[in-house]
Amino acid sequence: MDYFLQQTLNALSIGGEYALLALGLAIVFSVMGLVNFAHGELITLGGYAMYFTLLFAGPPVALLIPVCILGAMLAAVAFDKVAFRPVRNAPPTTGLLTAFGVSIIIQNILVIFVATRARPVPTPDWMRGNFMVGELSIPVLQVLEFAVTCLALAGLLLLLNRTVVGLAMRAAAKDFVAVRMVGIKANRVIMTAFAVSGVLAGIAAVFIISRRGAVDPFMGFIPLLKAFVACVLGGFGSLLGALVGGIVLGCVEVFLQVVLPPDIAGYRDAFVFLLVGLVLVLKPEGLVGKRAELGDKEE
Amino acid sequence: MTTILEVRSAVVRYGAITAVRNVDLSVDRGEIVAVLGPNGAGKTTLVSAIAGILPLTQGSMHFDGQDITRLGIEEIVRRGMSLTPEGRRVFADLTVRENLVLGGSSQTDRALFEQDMQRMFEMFPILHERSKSPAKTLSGGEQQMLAIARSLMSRPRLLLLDEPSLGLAPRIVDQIFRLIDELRRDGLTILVVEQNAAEALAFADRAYVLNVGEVVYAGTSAEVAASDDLAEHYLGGQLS
Ligand SMILES: Nc1ncnc2c1ncn2[C@@H]1O[C@H](COP(=O)(O)OP(=O)(O)O)[C@@H](O)[C@H]1O
Ligand SMILES: [Mg+2]
Repeated sequence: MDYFLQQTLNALSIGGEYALLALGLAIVFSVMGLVNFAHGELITLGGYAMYFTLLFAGPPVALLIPVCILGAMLAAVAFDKVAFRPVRNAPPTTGLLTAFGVSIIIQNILVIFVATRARPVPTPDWMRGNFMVGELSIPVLQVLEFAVTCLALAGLLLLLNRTVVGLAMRAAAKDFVAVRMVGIKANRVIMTAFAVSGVLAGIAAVFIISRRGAVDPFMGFIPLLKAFVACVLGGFGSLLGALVGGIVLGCVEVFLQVVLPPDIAGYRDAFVFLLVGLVLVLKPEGLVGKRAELGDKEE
Repeated sequence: MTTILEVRSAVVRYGAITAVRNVDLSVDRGEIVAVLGPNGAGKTTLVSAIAGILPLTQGSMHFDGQDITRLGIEEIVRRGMSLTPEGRRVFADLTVRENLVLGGSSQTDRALFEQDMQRMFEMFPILHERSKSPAKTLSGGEQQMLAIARSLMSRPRLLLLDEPSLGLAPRIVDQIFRLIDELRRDGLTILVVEQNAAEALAFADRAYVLNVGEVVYAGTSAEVAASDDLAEHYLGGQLS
């Protein structure tokens, strides 16, 4: 029982992390039809923002958390301004290539000017360790991650339903020109979508980095891959799909980790992708499919 | 009377296709001006260009004496011109109220915004009744009213209407045209695109007849209505 509960919590926290990343990808896609393959670099840059802040300013470790989130958000906004805005009206493949370009450039800048090797980034003490509930020993990090994911989701829902720019984002997913026709600036809507994706990536980055304890230039790739798979699994372009896809992916991973014999556990990801492929054969539109009422992208 | 909109030698192309050729058009303050013509004449292209949705390939546009030729959609709305597009294009998944909120989002004065919202609900009681329903659950006529109300929320001085009667039952069409007349009496200037020439001419002061991207006739509504030639060639037969 103890073991089962721990693994469930583990699955929820990993799933929540994937969901945050997938939602960021999905929200940018729904507003501007771009699959931002540089999304993983937001995590990397959030991480390096922590690293450099610590190096040069040396604040209390807890302060690094907002630095990471802010860093990822600013990076996302900068990607939009510098890289994506100039190609906004170009064909979709141009946007895709731009995203790959951004990703490669960021990785190489970090390799050249910092180092290829990983750099340590500490985690506040209170995020580590376990707490006891009766007989159960529960890792603080996992509970925190799941709780923060829920909070972030609540915030996202509020934004999408209660603010002008949020309503505009939902409307823009279907008819961007009509949104501009009421005088709402396209730049404002798209910048907000990027900022949101950055904040979500930054939150995920805090947890990713506290697990690994270090940052390196290529650390964004695997999370990006997971986010992409989660989006595809849930139904690309759907926000609910990204959420469900992320949670399901996390659960499947943890489940396989538990049941696979140790000598083939190393191939876990291969099994995961096999399962995802199977889902897509059976349900090509993804687990959730399109939910237009949530402002999902419709082609 | 003073001119509010002046379009000179406007040319609009889609790649190799020229959809609007050398169009001159002006609208005076307080007028209702109709743009008529058969399907594919370039009417939507023309009003889209005026609203800033499509760029002019050649020519110029002035609104209230200011050059708006190269302004984007958002800026043109903020200057006081608003388009209710063909096909209505309401925000289908948002509620009626949310549609109006976005319509009035350029209004920075909270009190004026609430006042406008109230005014829309008085003008369109059905929108008040359905204010919490998603726009896609409204009937075609109700959606058209919502689209017009959404445009009005930005307090335009010139309202562009692209085929407001398209696909609506005759009773609803009458209602929409009565509304247009009412808006004019409140001091709004209106440029209305219509295929429904007879209805439009009954309300408009002047009309432009477009065919294959060119203005083939411009005159008062009475003149256009009286011309059997125009009716037969461009306006789908009998006008009265
Ligand atoms: N997006 C587009 N791309 C290419 N051609 C277009 C496009 N939209 C309209 N056209 C062409 O431009 C011409 C005018 O169309 P439109 O302005 O929609 O006419 P109307 O509104 O009078 O029916 C038509 O020949 C139409 O086929
Ligand atoms: Mg048309």
